[in-house]
Formats: sequence, C-alpha cells, structure tokens
Amino acid sequence: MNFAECEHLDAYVGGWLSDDRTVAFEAHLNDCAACREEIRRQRRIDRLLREGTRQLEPIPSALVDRIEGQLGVIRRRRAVGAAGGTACAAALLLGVGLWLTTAGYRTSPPLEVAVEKRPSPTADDRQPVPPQQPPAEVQPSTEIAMVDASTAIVVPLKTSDPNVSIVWIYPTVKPRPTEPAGRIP
Amino acid sequence: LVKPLLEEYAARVYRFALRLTGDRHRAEDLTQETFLRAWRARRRLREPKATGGWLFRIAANLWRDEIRRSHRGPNRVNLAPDDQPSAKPPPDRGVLDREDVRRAIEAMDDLPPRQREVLYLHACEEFPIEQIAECLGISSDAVKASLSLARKRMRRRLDDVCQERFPTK
Repeated sequence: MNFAECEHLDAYVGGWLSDDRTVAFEAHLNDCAACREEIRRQRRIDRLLREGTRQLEPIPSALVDRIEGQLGVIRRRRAVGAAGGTACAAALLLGVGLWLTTAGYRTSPPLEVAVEKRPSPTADDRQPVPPQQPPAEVQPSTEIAMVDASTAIVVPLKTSDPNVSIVWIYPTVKPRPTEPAGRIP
Repeated sequence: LVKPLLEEYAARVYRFALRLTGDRHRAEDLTQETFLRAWRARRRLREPKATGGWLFRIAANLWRDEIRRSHRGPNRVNLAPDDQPSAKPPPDRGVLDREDVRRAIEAMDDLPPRQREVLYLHACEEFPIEQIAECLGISSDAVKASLSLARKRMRRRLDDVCQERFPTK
C-alpha cells in the first residue's frame, strides 16, 4: 500500500484531483481502509452540515419583512426623488425661458433707433399720417415777465415732456461798468 | 422582483452571514444590508444565474469592511434556546441525529474564519472552488488549502459522531 496517496484524500473528496490522480487514488482506496473510513466520515460531516444548517438555522421571519420594508422605503425615495428632479428641471427650464424673454426685451435696441435706421419709405409705402391731437393745455407753474422785451433774447429748447419748458435767455444789453470803490453817487 | 429574490436567497444569505459574523443580530443586519446593496447595484448583475454567488460576495465584502472598521474578529455562533433542535423533528430529518447536527455546526463555527467560510460555501452551498474563490476574493489554491485544513479538523473533532447509523451516499 502506498501511504503517500493518503495525502490526496481531501483533493479527491473535493473533486479537484486530476483524472490520472483520481484513478491512482481509487486504486489506493481498495487497499487503504483508513482512507475509506475518512472519506465516509467526511461525506457524513458534509451531509450533517448541509441539511443541519438548513433545518436548524431558519431565517427569522421578521427579518424578511424588515428587508422588504427597507427596500420599499428605498424605492419610494427614488420615486419621490425622480419626481422632484423632474419638477426641478421643469422649473429651471421655465426660469431660463423667462430670463431669456426678459433679457431679450432689454437688449433689443430702442424703438426710436430702430425706426431711425429704417430706409426711408418709398412713395408707395407711405401711409397717410393721422392728424395729431393738440396737446392738452397745461397751466404753467411759473411765469416770467420781462420788463423790456428788447433787453433779452429768449430761445425755447425742445423737450420730450410737454409739461416741461426750457428756455435760454441771452441778455442783449451790456451791463454798466461798476462804480469806483469809495465813491458815493 | 424583490419577493422571489428574498424567498430564494434570504435564508441562504442569512446562514452565510451567521458563519461570517458568529452572531445572530449581526447576521440579521448583514443580511439586510446585503440585500439593500444588491438592490442598489442590481443593474451590475449581468447573469441572473450568478445571483447567489453575487449576494454572497456582497455579504463577504461588507463583512470585511466591517471588520476593518471595527478591528474586531468574528465570534463563534451561539445558538439561542429557541433555535435549539425542537422535540418534534421535521419529517425529512429521520436520518439525522439532532445532537450530531449540533456538534457538526459547532465544530464548523469553531474553525478559523477563512476555513469556516470556505467549508460552508463548499459543504452547505455546494459551490465549486472557482465560485468560492470569487465570492471571497481569494485564489482557487487558497480555497483548496483552506478547505483541506477545515475538513481535517472537522474529521478529527467529529471522530465519534460518524457511526454506522448514518448511511453514506
């Protein structure tokens, strides 16, 4: 009997012995009662473990419910998160749209400038100009009366506000030279 | 999707967690965390047939992380009184002796952690060597070495357990 073959017992039971070695070990088993007994014992132990753990170590029933509950929480959170994300994206898009609209209005050139850059209309394009309404009569808040109209020239300036009048007054009379100091007339 | 997954694997993951942690409460927490992680990472599982090994791998990795964080080692599994074999055995347990089963599980749980995990996955889950290596993140040769050592220890310790009353397969 070859006792060196006994060293391969666990590899044989484990099933990772090569084909050649398996044949040799099975030949050895015919002569080695100790190895046969070890293999029998090992298989019993494996069976005890396999069936024993399944029978004696059942999972606590509350644990399955607990895991299911936790998984449900995760799924609900993800669903809420996805809905929130969609709402945030929609709000963001809406905000960007509003901003672009407002910014576009602000950055567009003034209407007056655009009108000024237009080519002058041709005769065919000309539309009859509606008659302008006369401005409402405004009562002046300040009145300036000149004693002698020949002493000044008054030039009114154009203003955008009809309620505001700006005039430049140019004196036409040179001022008299000042009297020498210390002399009383 | 969740319900069938739990029905098929929760008990198996829990028993493996018992081997890893050596403690029922920690095993419950580890089982729960394993399924939560698996659910979050479910898109990474390409092959549904590999679900079992994938779950065991997640459990093993979580436990390694836990050990690294806390610098503690796993303990023996202590059966609570209500987990002891009941007076009325299940119908398919005729050939198993409850005391022998208890001793076998106790012997397995007294093994060093690596040997215990390898033996459990091989003997109880009937995983091939390569799958055990993948689950535990070790080489196939390391699995074989650990399994050989574990089996020798088990046979020595349970010398008087295995009598002729158990028929061999």
